[in-house]
Amino acid sequence: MALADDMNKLYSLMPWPEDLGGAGRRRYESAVNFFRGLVDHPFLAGGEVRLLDLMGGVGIGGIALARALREAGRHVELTVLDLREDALSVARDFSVRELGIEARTIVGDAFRVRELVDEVDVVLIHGVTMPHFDPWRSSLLFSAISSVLTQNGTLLIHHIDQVYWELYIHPQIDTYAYFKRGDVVLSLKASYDPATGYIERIICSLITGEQARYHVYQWGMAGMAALMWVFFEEIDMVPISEDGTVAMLLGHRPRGVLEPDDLEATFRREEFLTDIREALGWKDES
Amino acid sequence: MEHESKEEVLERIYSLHPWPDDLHSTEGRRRYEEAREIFSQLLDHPFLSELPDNVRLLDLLSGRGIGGVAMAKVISAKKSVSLTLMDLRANALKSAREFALEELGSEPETVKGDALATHELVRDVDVVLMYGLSLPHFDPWEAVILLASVGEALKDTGLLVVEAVDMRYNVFYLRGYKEVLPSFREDEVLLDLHKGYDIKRGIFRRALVSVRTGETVDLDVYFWGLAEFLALMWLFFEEVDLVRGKGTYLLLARKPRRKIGPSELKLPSFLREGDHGAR
Repeated sequence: MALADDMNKLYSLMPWPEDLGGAGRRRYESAVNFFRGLVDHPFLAGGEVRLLDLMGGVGIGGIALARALREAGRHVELTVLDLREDALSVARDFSVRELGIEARTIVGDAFRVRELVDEVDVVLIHGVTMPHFDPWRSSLLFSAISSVLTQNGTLLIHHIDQVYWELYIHPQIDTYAYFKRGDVVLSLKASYDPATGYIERIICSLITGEQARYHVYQWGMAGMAALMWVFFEEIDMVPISEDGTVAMLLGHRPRGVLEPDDLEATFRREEFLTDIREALGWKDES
Repeated sequence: MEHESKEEVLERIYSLHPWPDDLHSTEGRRRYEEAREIFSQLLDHPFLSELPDNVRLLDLLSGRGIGGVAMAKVISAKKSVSLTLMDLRANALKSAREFALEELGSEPETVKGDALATHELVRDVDVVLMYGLSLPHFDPWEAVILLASVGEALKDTGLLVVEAVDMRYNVFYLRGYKEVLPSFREDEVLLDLHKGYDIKRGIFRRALVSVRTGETVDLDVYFWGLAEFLALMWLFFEEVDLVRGKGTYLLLARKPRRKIGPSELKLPSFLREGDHGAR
């Protein structure tokens, strides 16, 4: 699976803490603390919770939420879905250690969630994952998620306001270096595509020369929340950081009126994204 | 603090802001001619091939009517057009009516009202036009309501045309966000200042200050990327396309889906509480 290989390479180079000994453990503990305060939210009512941690990686978010729900006396069935089997095997071990039961894991693409997962009550996207999806793909993803949620189901998205932090506060940081396990990795902004809003970044190890390219859409909190509103009747925004720039977005009661097929029909009829790129006729090489 | 209506705020913004929409000025005239040229080319687009013989055209946030009158003029070479101009500002509508009479020889309909309630004021239109870069006035929540409302106001095969620039690119990636942005016109210096960022609405609050008179008005701006707005249009319309104009783009959407009506869009409670965590 080409996408899975790309993601493996990407995450091997990214500074993202997935080791459950050090930084990853701290990320887990702070998630548990946050979720303990969230489990009484009206959008999360119900004694039986079928929980899906989508693009869950090593399962930090899903296991943390499952633990908080169980501490509150709720019955939880946890499924973790990710493209990377390596991450999922860590998630299985970790869930046994933390919950005493093994999470069900599914290797697969989040867009195909309907084919892979039965009905669930809660879908969680944890760890600031939405930058992988531009507004077109985010819409298709929300549509797919809506189709596996129950009528009273809830989507949780852990997000940081990137318009605030990355475009307003720290716009100068479009080239940076970081250190990872003896490696030095350089991250460069390569281009902007107006048709998708994606920034293309290239990350490159200065030691091994290994490279990966990836796309990032820099979502503002409000832009993400309002897009969720098209797919869900009720929206809430619960601050995680004191200033609210890191928050959990909750979409409750999927409207279920925008089916993935209907949305994709636009692409099939027109192939308009190709047209759009041609119409734009330029690509910024900065 | 006294509460101003949307109309009063807009009147004050436009009285300070050097927006060239006076149709008898050289710049206003140039923008009108440019709009006519852009719309002439747009007539060849497949989305406009099925317009009926009598086109009902609504110019939303029309201001003084540059866009609506230009499009009506272009379409009237081939078909008959009935033009409706809608804006919150009574003064702008008065100028727009006079301009339409001059250019088209017929009186347009004018409607004073809020674009977020378009469907309550105007129905069964063939084309809704938003010309003159009005998108930054709408935060993402309002944009969702706007698109739902426009979808209701249009006929089944109706078309929405929005002029836009990629503000995400221009402001953040190309130029960099500026805390202070001066502009000059004749004997006036206008400062456009950063005042805060509202996380819940995604808007940057700016203050426009006249250096000469000290007059100040707040302006909320959302920096739309093309992709972000066009993708929203796609959720409310079956067909979308993007056409490059002269330094600006035309975002096109046809056939409203009407899956989500304006009455089904109840704003989340955190937006109704008043405090938006502005920073």
